[in-house]
Amino acid sequence: MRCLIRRVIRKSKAGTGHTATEIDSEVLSIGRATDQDVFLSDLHVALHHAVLRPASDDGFALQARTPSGIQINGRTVQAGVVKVGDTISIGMSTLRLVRAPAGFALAIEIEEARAERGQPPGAGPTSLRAAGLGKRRWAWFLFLLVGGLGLGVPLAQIHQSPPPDIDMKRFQVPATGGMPWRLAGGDHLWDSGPMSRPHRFFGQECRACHRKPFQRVTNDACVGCHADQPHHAEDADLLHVSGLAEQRCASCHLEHNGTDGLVTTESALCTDCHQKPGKNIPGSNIRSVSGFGGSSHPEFRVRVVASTPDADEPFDWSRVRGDQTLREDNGLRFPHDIHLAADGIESPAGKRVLDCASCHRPDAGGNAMQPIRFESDCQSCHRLNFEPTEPDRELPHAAPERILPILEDYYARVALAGGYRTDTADAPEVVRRSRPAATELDREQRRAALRWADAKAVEVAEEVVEYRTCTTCHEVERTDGGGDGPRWSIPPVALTAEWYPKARFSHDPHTGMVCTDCHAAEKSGESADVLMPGAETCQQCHGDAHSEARVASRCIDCHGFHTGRKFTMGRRDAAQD
Amino acid sequence: MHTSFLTHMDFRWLRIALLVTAGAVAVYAWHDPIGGPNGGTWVGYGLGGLGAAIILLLLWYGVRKRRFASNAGTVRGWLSAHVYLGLALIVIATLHTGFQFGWNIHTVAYALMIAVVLSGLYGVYAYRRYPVQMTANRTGVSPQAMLEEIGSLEQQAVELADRIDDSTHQIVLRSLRNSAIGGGVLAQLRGGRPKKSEKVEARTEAILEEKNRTLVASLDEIKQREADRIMRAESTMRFVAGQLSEAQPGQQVARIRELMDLLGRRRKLVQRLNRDIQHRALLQIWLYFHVPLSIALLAALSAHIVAVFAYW
Repeated sequence: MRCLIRRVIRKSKAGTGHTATEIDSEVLSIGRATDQDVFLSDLHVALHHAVLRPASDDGFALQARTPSGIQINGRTVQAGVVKVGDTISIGMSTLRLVRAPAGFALAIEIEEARAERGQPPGAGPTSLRAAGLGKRRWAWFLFLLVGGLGLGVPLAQIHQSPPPDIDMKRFQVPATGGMPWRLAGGDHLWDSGPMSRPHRFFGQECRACHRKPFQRVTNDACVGCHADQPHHAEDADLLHVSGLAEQRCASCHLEHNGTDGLVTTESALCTDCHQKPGKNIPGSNIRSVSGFGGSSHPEFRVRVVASTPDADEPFDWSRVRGDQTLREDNGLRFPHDIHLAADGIESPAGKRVLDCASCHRPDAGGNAMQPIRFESDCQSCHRLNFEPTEPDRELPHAAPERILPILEDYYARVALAGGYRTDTADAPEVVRRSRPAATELDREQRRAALRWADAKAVEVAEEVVEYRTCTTCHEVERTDGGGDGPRWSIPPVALTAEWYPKARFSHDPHTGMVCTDCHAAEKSGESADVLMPGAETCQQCHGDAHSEARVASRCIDCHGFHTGRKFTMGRRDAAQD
Repeated sequence: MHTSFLTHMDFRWLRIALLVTAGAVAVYAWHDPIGGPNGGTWVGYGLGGLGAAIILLLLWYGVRKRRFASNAGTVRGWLSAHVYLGLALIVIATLHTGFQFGWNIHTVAYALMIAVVLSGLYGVYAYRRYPVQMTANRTGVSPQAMLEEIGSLEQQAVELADRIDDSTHQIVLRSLRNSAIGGGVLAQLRGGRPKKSEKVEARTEAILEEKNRTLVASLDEIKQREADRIMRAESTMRFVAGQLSEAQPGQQVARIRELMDLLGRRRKLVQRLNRDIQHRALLQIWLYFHVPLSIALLAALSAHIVAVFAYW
């Protein structure tokens, strides 16, 4: 192996000089002893420090012969393979393997750092900067990483894709707009918080709502789906004056604020206007509400019915303040107190104790009560029977003019069949006598029988309508028009179903209470009594939204916002009216 | 009395920071916005704006401290403000979040800010603790002087070892090589590689001790033999020759003792130097987090603000 050893001799400012020697040896010995092929005079070098022998085509095996080892490219080892370009450090000397000139297998450039004051050869870096730590590199790396992912990628995605429409089908498959950037995270890193559950299905497309960068979300995005959502009031002027017509949906419905939905429950949103309605709407008759405390909520206005002389519209409802004795005119005669008597009420089956639920049944939703119907709620006691010999036969709950023909038909059949058992002697023989079914009656007999039947029908009708049955509950007036047979008039009945049209009340959450806690039915002797409670009754349990002593109740617990029917948030926008 | 950046102008910036913090907490507690507190209410925007302004002011400290000609306040005053306003930022930014966190750029910005402040907090601790220890450890000797002294001791040691024999020289070389000064980042923070150095040095000492013992033992034997020989000396010539052969082991013993002494002095010095390097590393390491993270925070803050208003 022919080797070229080049020694670098440091000269002063003039530059560097070299000496070159040639060695021809199979194994190259390195050390401080004079017999070494590569002689290093440095005392940090052992006499026989290492040997170098060819290992492969371009590699040489370096083997230390002393326990202090050798440094190859800065790493201290006992043995290793070196190639052209590698640096070997022994003591204060540096041996560099350089490209060998033609004819040589190996060329080594040796530089002996001669007694550099103060730096012992084994010393590593003594400062963090010398150990390769830098601030600038990391700062740039992190700046570009955070800025790229947080700003560059989302802006690129926005630039690449148009805002999409909200379409259920579209969002059932992954979005593809602005694709390369979307894969890198897109604008997802901008998501400021969890979306409400109903809206989450299009949450992957920020631009479904954020249609124009640097512009607040407009109602267009909302009414894309919610076009038929009712507005707040019927009056366009009111909506304009109050500012509600131009209001953004998002100013009340805050998205990205949790999964629990967007319906804001804060009463402040309502009292903002309703506390001083006159401020925005001068001369308004809207009453001031600031909560549900003693004086902060006005008295309820109950819907009370009155009769009118108009035959086509016999009833008229008006909302009347509940803090006075309310009377209504519903056309019915009904004393609650007798029905609720503690020791019971007479019934066909004897004394029967009734409670509210005997007649008032909640509807399927549990909110309101089912309307009272005679057949299901009254008839089991107030039977419409008419004939003592057939006590189970009942008349329909119908107007007298329909009752009379039914009675005529019934008694005609009874008379023609014969065998009618009666104590009174006014019935003719043909009616009273029993006979076989196939017996034919002669003309005279038939005439007598039907005459009796007609008279009996009128008699029974008069008894049922005027004295025994109808008149129990209804006002009955005899209006014989001089024609054939009697006539009666019974005024119509109107039982109010919706008492508080501006509020929602559900019986369901109140089932722990007794009906009479709110409805004074036990003391009511007339159906004209309005048994609906006033605000004071509710306030025994319910208080302000921040109440500590009562059930904290917010506006939205009883009232809705989107209750107007005339205008909608989208299709019939009051803003364009 | 010496005033540090912490006590600058009778804690002026501490007082300002406390005032700002208390104000932020009070407004936050008073405010009861629809949908709960978050960054999008007017208090949220206010706290966010205040926080961003403070962050920019704190970043400007990096510029101000390099402007030696600037008269905009003393650097110590700036540092005092930097520290106290930075701590106030933890409260202000946390209130700005309304305690809403998520996997998004907004929380990234918050987390980076917290990381920057915490690294800075460590910096304050380090500046209170290590300079005192450093001075005590150096006892007036500069690290460069220590390094030179170590170099000189090593030079003497290898020269001496070389005069003893080749195996001693090799052992000493290995010992010098392995009880390292400084090193990589972790080695500097740990104060060199104390465990490895100790092991190598203990082994070197044991070997030298052993060598010494055998030499001393053989010396006694030789002395005994020589005493016998002198008694039986036949001529002066032979006595002198005997003296010469006797001189060799005696000198070796002295050299080994001197070598051990040199290595011991070097070891103590290396320990001191490594402790100094450790002090300096601990004093500086936080800056390698504080500065790059604060630059990353600048990016995250910009992205946060753009994001909030782009998707308003």
